[in-house]
Amino acid sequence: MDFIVSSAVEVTELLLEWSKGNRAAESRLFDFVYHELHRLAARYMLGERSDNSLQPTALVHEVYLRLIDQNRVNWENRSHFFAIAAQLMRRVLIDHARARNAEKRPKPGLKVPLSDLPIGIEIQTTELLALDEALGRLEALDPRQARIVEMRFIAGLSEEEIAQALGVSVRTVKRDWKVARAWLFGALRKEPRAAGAVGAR
Amino acid sequence: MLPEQWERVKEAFDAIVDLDAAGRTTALSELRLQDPELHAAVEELVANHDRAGDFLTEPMALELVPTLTVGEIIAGRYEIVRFIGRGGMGEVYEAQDNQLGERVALKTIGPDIALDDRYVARFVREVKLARNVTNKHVCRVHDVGQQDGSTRRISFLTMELIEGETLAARLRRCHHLPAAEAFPLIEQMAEALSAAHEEKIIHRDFKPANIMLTLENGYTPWWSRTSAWHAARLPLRACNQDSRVSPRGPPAILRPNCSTRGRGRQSPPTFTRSAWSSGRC
Repeated sequence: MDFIVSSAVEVTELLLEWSKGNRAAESRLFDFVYHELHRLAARYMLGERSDNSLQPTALVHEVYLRLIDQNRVNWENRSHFFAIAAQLMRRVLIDHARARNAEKRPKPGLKVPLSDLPIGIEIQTTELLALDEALGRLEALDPRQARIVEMRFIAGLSEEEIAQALGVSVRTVKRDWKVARAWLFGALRKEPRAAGAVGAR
Repeated sequence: MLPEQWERVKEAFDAIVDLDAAGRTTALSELRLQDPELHAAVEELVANHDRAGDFLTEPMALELVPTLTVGEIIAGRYEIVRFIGRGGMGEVYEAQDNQLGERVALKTIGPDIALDDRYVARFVREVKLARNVTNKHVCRVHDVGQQDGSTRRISFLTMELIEGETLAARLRRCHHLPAAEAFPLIEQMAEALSAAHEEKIIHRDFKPANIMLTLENGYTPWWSRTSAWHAARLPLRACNQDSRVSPRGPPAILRPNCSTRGRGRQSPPTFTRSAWSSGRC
């Protein structure tokens, strides 16, 4: 697609600016990444792939390859990109889950037959929304921990990559992750369906 | 909890969680004496840490569900019976056509296409063309339609429901086909393509996943039907009309000089190309 060819140059430029601390580049960069994640997620959810799973990690990496000119970025820029993409991937998933929930709400006066159940397994909208809500509460306490959870769980980044993106030590990432995971487990366990389904792959 | 309190909980948790059982007990008892509130929070967190198992340790993987549900009626006519699978452009369902009392295959079209009116218009035009092809090796296309929902639009086509497996599945299962089985299939595929070419239609997505193998009359050999005619295009005209639409076939199947990966101007698809890819099957 022409869009990709021209935007790879532009998005790389925006990322480099953003990495340098130019916050003016932020909204445009985020728009590009969100748009591309959304487009790819939609494609994966409906067609193009024969399996029935969606791996946000794979998606985030694919978007990186499509949008960023790898010859022009260093490890730090790369980590920054993934930090952004993890956050936006979360938003894409939540937007999708909300839209789907809204869609499933039966319209008044419409008869819902007994067999009107989703076939296969639900993209775990309830669980996703519960995790997002808990993550939101954690974010209020400690934004860095929420970023770490996104980067690890949604974008599948290593502790080293996360440390690089956040400009902290690996030791800090490990500590934050450990406590954040325990806290989220507690928060979601109060809604047992959510903890079980999110934890099980 | 406030961020300042969380900071203290975090520190205490970090100091305690990696200790052995005896060490944890001692440290927690000390903490209880100093600050009962903090103790309660840390104790709960340590317990959750121990119970968490593999929670969140593997990157997220979401299972997808079909867009349509069983029993749902599309366009006031097609009742969804079951989800068959995902493929090329969208999802495939078995549906009951309540008007004609027949089972049909209903294919939904991916949202990136369904939401663009120009694409939909093209799609409808192409399905109409594909309907002109009548050959026993070509899957019949019945109808094309749309249904607008509150948050989504479903574009779909209905076609002959073929029971069987795709050539791709068959090749995966058997690794290779003996020549005696393969030759008749190739002939049938060539016949299907040539019937389309007579109507000036090229398939553009001719690949093993779009060939259905059926067993006709019990013992006769495998019988091939070419489906996915919604990918069919009128040569030249369609491409010149709308340069945004690129060939949808996978590069491995398109002839190399027509690959979508190329930077140069794309040449329009031609009859030779789908005939070329039939040799690749």
